[in-house]
Amino acid sequence: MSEIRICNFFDLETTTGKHHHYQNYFIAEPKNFLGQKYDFVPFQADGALANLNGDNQQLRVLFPAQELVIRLVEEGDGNRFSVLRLVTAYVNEAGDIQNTPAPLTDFFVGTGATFSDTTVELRFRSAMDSVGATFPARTLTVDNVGILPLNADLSLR
Amino acid sequence: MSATFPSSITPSKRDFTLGQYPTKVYRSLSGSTVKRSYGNKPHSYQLSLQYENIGDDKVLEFINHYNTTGGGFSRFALPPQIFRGMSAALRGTVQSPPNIKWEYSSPPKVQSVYNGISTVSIDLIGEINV
Repeated sequence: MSEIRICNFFDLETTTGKHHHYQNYFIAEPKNFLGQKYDFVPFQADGALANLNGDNQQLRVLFPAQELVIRLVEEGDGNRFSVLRLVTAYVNEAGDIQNTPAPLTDFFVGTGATFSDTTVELRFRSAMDSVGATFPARTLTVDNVGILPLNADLSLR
Repeated sequence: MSATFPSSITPSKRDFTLGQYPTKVYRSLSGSTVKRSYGNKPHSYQLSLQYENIGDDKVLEFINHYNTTGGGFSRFALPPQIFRGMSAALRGTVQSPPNIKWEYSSPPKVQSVYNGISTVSIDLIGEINV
């Protein structure tokens, strides 16, 4: 496949329980997908990466600083309590969503947002985390090291 | 609210370039390419207009329009007088491509020709307006 057309379908549930549906490929036109109408908003979704430690996957969704995006952030309490369902779908030359390869669906939870003069960045992480690379995790307790400080400043000699 | 683009005179020269589709191309070392499309509509249409040997009052109309639109900040529609000589079907496509509005891509240039007579060059760019 040497010609790739990809559309991201963005379904954000905010703390009010309201769902916001946007897509970024079909310019200035709504697109129906899985029974929902997705309006066009020129966002870009990138930065999703996984590492060998199995940390949470991070995702950044970049929007222009439009009023509707600021409303999205506020409804999600600074995008800390939002739930995102992001579908990545292939589009054919005629503009139809392809079923082969099947659209990819990822679920994320909001971790915050950053504002700049022209953009609003919504940050997300994947909902599931792994147990970590060091398993079982080492733990310091009063039994094995004595009295523990109230903060995280430990001096191990 | 931007003022109407001056339409009392027809340009002496008109140069139109179609918009381009938002794509990126990856070219491998082997020379083969993979293209990624980011949208289904073209952007960045270009239109260059030249008004030769016009009076100062007409020059002032263009300068005022440029300033009223914030020097290229606000977008505007173009009047049909600019596209005289084109068939109606072609003019419809060129004058207002779907979802496109025009803005100044650079400040107008005024070249003095004679006392009270100048030539004005205007470069416009048509961007997607959503």
